[in-house]
Amino acid sequence: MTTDADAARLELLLALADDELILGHRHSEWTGWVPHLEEDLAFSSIAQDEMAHARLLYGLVLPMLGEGWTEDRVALGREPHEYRNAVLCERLNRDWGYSLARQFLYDTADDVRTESLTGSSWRELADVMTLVRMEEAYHLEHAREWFGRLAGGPVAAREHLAAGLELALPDAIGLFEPLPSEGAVLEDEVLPKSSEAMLAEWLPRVGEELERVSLDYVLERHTPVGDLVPTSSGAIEGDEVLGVPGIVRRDGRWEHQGGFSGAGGRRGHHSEDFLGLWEDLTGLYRAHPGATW
Amino acid sequence: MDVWDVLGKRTVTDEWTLVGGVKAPDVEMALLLARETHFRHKEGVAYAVRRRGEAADALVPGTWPAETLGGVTDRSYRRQEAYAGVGAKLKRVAAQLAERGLRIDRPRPPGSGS
Repeated sequence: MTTDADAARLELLLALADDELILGHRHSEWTGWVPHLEEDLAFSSIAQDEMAHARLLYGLVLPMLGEGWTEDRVALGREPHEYRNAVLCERLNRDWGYSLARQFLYDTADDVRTESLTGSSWRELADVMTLVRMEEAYHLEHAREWFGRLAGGPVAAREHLAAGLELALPDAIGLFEPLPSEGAVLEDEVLPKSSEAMLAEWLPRVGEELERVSLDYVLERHTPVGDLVPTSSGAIEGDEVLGVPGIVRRDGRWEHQGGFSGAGGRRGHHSEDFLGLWEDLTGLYRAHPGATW
Repeated sequence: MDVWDVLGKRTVTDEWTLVGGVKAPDVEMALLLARETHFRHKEGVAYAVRRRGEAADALVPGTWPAETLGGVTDRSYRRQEAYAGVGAKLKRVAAQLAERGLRIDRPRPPGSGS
């Protein structure tokens, strides 16, 4: 295997693992605060699952990095720009409506990509995905149950869900930002489907679910420009902003239109929300490098 | 919101045993929450809920298979092993400090016995 192929595999693994780690961390921030005790436990369990899935994937990363790398160092010992999670995963939890809207969009996307990756030519990755999907089935059921209930009312719940979906949607499309070296992993079928092909699978599925509960106006409101929130310096640099495809309804299906521009999480570009999370997540590790307990 | 009794079986040949309760608006959510709150640590092979106060035959079993109930990935981090032997450690350290004329615990409040 050439070095280029290795680098492309590493990019893919980090995108998958960092998504799970960072979203798992955000989910875990709900522990003790969820509006309903039983659900507090359920959501915390999902957070732990996501972190366990990240660990499985980091287990594949380690042999590629060689001497000196440990699971902790991969998970906690990198600089912010070295994390390859999509921006969706790092966003603040906002309210329960947003958090569940995000979980719904994320786990539907995760279902599409993990299913495809069970057919990966890289046997170890395919095996990990098969295992992960057994637990992801829980997450999907959780997301769909809550989605249906919040959409079904009362009005305030529906409005919180709709507002959350509208906010999360452009970032959720960002989950499908092509990897910088995607061509290499597609060529040897480590990645059986391109990011764009998976987006084309995910979007009609989300569209169908939204239509079922008459929330598809959320898709109509989507504008094809990504995150345009200025950084603290007030500057928006063209290359640093991820532009995501638009959405159109064609022949009774919701489809994407146009492509990505700029750079997002898959190239290490993150939102301001990421820094606080990174400091929380890695603070202890950075204060005591190499410590064990 | 309704209260639902949660029942489980540790092995396939067991009878249903009451293991706890959850609050949930309907049976689907009751099953989901029962599974997530009571069967995430391999506590059993089958689970069910029954709206509190309803007859025994109103039991609704969950459909998740025993193999995946409680998860399939490593959960060892959930076991709090760092506290094992902590009492003995405390005694040893306290004895070492006592030799140097120091103590690590504050005086016990009056009336708390020995």
